[in-house]
Amino acid sequence: MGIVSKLPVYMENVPGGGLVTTRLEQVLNWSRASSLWYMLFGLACCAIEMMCTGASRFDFDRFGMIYRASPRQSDLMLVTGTLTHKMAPRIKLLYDQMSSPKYVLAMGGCATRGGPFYYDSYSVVKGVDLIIPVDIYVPGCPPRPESLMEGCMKLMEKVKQEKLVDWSRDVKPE
Amino acid sequence: MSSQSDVVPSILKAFSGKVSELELNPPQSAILVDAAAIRDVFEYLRKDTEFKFDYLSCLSGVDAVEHLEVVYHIFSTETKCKLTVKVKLPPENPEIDSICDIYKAANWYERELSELYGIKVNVHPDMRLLLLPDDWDQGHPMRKGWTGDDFVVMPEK
Amino acid sequence: MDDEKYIEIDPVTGTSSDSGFPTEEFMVNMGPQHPSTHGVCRLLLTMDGENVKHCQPHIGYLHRAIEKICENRKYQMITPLMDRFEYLMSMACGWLYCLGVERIAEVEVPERGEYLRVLMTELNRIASHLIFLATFGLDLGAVTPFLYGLRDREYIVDLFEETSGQRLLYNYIRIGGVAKDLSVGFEKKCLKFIDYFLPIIDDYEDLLTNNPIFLTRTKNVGVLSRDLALDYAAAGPVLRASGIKWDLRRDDPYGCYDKFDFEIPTGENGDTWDRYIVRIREMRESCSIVRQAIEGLPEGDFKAKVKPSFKPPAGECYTRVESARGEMGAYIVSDGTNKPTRLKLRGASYNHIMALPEICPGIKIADLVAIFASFDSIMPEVDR
Repeated sequence: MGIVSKLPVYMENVPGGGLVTTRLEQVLNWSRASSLWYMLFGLACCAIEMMCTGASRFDFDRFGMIYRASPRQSDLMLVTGTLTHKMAPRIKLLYDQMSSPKYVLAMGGCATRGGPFYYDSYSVVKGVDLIIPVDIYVPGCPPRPESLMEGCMKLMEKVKQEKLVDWSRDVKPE
Repeated sequence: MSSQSDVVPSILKAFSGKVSELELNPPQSAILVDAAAIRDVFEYLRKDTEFKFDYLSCLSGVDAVEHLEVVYHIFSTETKCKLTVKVKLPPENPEIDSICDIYKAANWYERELSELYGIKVNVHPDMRLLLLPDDWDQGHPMRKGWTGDDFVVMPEK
Repeated sequence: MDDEKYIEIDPVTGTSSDSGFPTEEFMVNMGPQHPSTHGVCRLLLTMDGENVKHCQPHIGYLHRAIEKICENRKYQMITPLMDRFEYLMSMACGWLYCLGVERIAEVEVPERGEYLRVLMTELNRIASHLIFLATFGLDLGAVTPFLYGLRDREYIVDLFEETSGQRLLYNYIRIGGVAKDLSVGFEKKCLKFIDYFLPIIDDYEDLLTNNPIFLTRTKNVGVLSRDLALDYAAAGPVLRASGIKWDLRRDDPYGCYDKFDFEIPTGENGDTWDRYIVRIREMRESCSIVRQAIEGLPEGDFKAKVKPSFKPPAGECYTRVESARGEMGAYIVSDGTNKPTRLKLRGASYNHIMALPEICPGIKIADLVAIFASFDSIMPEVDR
């Protein structure tokens, strides 16, 4: 009873099988949240914890999350590490290259608000949300893989609450 | 024969007048060289001396407020000797000769020196900005007392 | 249709002897976001078909100005920041900094503290080489070493978490010794890990070392000659793979490394395969050092008493430490206050990437990926 048990559906048996009645946005949100493909965007130390989360012990693949190298093929950008002024235009370019719907998760203290490099540094952007819109912030330096997974699960809950009506508002001509 | 304590006396003998010994804490072999003689001293250290200094480990700039310093740390993989070479430069219009052709490792270190401290390095093959963004126009950040647009100083408790 | 003619292309080099075939050079940007540039390094390549004519590295995308930050921090506040200098060997970074400060301030570290420093740094070296193995295999297309390497690294990370509370950036080595003593039962767990791990290295070698595809992709690829390695001040496994038997733990010893007995593996040709095999052999030597450290661990204090208002006398010192990537250096200048005047950091990867344009001309782009992975460089060490 896989799909049926996860969504609020109305099911009835008809000759030849079953008939499931549900809302379109629930099915689309559920499928989108169950296969968030993240872009490999490791900037600094948090990238190692992202690698560990995708590897043997803490497995990301069981959530349906696979890493993709190209921004065109990914839905989620995990910004792992410190953003500098030299790198900022490139991250904007990468964000623009991702196709909607796209989500951003700021991992670690540096991506959230500059981290330990806030004071006395002339080249660090004090938070990735000054450049691109961020959906989830995961604090820590670096955050444990469990924290990152919790952040991704919160993102999945956020995706499941999206309304069909808002999608047309978000899509801008590229 | 080639022991650590003979390093500084042999260089002082070869370059009397342009090189002087430095007393540092903790005690180490260190010499102070005139900026004009730096290339001759390094050619001697690399090729002519018995200590065979073949490894340039580090090249850094220091802003001691009355003057600027360029500090070279060289080592020998054969005789295991070490040497610290210092050059003192005036804070206005500091200039130094490049040693890229003697030690290839000095290449990027000199580029970094020129962009962060403002020391002009003569005859360098490639003087573009290394670490700072390409459109950087806020001066030389590693100088003492520098401030810029996005620079927040940590408040004293 | 009359313009078509049959062009003979050599299957091995991919070039044709027909000089009338027009080709054009073009520039390809590899990075800063690229799955195999190990961080944010941009390589601007001038290519002629599949062959790389010229490679120009652009760095600075992770320049966080650690040196400027440290000029406004007290000495004890800098140790957590030093971990971020080379995050895969953060024990060695902390040791590098504390060694310099201790030499200037003449702080004597107790013997137990020295042994604990060696123990933790060698475990860290094994963990770092496992990440090298994982990413090197992944860049060449082999996914299995990635999963195996990170599985075994988790055991080491568990040991570190027990000791220092952190998985990656430990802040364990402090001025005067280490932060805290070993937890109960640590020695037994560590020896159990070493007994488990030594046969696993043979499994890794089975996967890659004599694999014909791996040999074709790495033997005689990216040869860094002896003279070039010394000229560019390469260090660590890159220098040892080029045939120069230079290891700071034996040739310029610090801490209590002179009490340990270990071999220094070297390569012959300086190619990618040599850089890989030197690191595999170093993992075995590190296991032996860990065992010697645990068996010889003395009793006593693990940290010397250092006042909270720590002010070393005026002076300067350049210290070097052997990390997994090579020689890390720190030049500390103190002027008698409680903050350093200058803290210059030097990472081995800086020199390795500087040497990359010298070995690039004439290779294929797939070889460039293998060579870059074999240097095992990380960007915070380059950009600071």
